[in-house]
Amino acid sequence: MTKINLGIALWMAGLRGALQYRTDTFIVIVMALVFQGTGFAFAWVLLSRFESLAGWTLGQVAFLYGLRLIVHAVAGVLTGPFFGLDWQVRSGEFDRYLIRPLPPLLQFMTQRVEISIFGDVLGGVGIFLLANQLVGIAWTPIALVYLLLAIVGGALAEGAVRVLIGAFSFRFLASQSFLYLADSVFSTFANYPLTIFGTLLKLLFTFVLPLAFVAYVPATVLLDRTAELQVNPLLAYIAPTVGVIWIAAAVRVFNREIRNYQSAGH
Amino acid sequence: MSAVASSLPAYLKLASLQMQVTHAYRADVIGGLSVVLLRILLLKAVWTAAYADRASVDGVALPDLMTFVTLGNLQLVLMRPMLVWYVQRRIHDGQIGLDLARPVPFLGQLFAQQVGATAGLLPFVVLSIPLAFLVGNLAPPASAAAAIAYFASLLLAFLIATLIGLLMGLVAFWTVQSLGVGVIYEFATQFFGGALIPLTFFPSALRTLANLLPFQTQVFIPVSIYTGAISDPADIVQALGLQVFWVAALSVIAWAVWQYAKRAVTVYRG
Repeated sequence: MTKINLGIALWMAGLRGALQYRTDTFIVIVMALVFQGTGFAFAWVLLSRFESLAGWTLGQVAFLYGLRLIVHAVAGVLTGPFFGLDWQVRSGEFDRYLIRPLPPLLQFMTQRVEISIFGDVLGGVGIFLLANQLVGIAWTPIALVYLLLAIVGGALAEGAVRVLIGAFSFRFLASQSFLYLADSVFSTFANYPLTIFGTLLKLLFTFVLPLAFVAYVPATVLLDRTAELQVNPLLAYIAPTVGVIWIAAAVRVFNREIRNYQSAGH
Repeated sequence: MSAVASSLPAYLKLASLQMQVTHAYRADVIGGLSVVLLRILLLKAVWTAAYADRASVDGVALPDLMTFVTLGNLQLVLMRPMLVWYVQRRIHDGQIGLDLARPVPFLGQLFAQQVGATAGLLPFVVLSIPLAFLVGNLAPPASAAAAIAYFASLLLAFLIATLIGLLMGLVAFWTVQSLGVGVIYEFATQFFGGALIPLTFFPSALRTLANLLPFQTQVFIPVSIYTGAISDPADIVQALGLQVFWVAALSVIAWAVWQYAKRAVTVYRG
C-alpha cells in the first residue's frame, strides 16, 4: 500500500512538473484533439456518404472510436515516459531508479506525465457521448461494469505493448522509433471494426498484438454484435482479462531485461 | 534576376547541405514513410469495406480511388513543411543572427532549405512506390498529357507548400513556439486536401469550404489531373491557374510578413 501511495505522490509531482509549461500544455492538448479529430472527421464524412462499414453504422463506429480513444488516454497515464526510456538508458539517467527503495518500473512510469492524454480523454469522451446519442445502448449496471473493466483491460493491453518494446532498450539501447510505430499501428487500426481487414491482419491484431482487445471486442459485446466474431461469443465477455495476461507477461520481461542495463561509462 | 544568378552557388550549397541532413536522419524518414504506408493500408481496408459490392460510386471506381489515395498520401511526404520547424529552431538557438548576416537574402535561403529537404526525401519516396503499390494501388497516369500536366501541378503544389511552411515559420519571429501550428497544418492538409476522402465525396457545405482553402492544391488538384478526373484541357488550365493564383497570393503575403518580421527579430545568445 505504501508503494501505491508513493507512486501516486510521484505521479502527481510529475503532473505538476509538466503543467508548469502552460503554453506547451495548451498546444499539446490542441494537437492531440486535432490529430484525433482529423481521423474521426474522416470516418464521419465517409459514413455520412456510405451509410455503413461492414455492417457498422456511423453511431457504432463512433462508439468504437470514442472507446478506443478513452482506452488510449488511460494507457498513457502510466506509459507516456516509455518514449524517453532509450535515451535515459543511453545517458545513464536510469541509474537513479535503481538506487531508490521502490520498484524501478514504478518509479520510471511515474516520473513524468504525458499531457496529450488530456486531449485524448477530452476527444474520446466527446465522441463517446455523441455516439451514445446515436446508438442508444441500455446502460444496465452490468453493462457499466463491463465498460469499466473493458477500459482498464484495454489500457493494460495497449500499455503492455509499450512496456515490452521499452524493455528492449536495456539490451539494444534504442526503442523510440519502434514505440512510435506501434503507437501509430494502434491509432490507425484499432478505431475500426476488425472485420474490414484481411485474414493476415486479423490474425496479427489478435495473436501478435492485442489490438482487437483494446476496443473492438468489448465494443461488439456492448453493441450486441458478437455474432460477427470468429470465436465463441462467450470468449468476448472475458476480453478484459487478455490485458491482464499481457501486462503480467510484459512486466516480467521488463524486470528480467533490466539486468542487461550497463549504465553509461562515466 | 542577375542577383539570383550570382547567388546560385550559395543557394545550391545550402540545398545540398540540407539534403545531407535529411539523409543523416534517414531512420526518421523511414519511420515517417512507414506511418504513411500504414495509413494507405488502413484507407484501402476502409474504402474497400465502404464500397462493398459496388463497382463505382459517383462515377469513381474503387481502383481509381485507391490510386488517388495512394498517390495523394505519398506526395504529401515530399511537401512536409520543414521550414516551420527549421525557422523556429534557428530562432530558438539564436542561429537566426548568423542566417541574417549571410550575403544571400533570408527568404531565398529558406527556399533553398526546403528544396534540399525535398530533394533528400525524393529517393526514399521513389523507393517506397512498389510498397505503396502493394498496400494501396497505383495505376499509370491517364495519358501522356496528364502526366506532363501532373508534374506541372505537383511543382506548383510544392511552391504553395513551401510558401505556407515559410509563413508558418515566420510566425515564430513573434511567438518563438510554432511547433503546434505545423502539426495542425499537416492534418488540415490531409483532410481538406483530400488525401483521406477525395473532395468529390464531401457534403456540399464542406466542399465549398475546401474549395476556398489552399489545401486542395496539395493533393486534390494534382492527383485528379493524374487520374484523369480533371481531363478537359480547359479544366486543367483552370486548375493550374488556381494554383498559380495561390503561389502569387502567398508570395505577396510572405514578402509583406517578412518586412514586419525583420523588425521583430530578437537574437538570443547573439
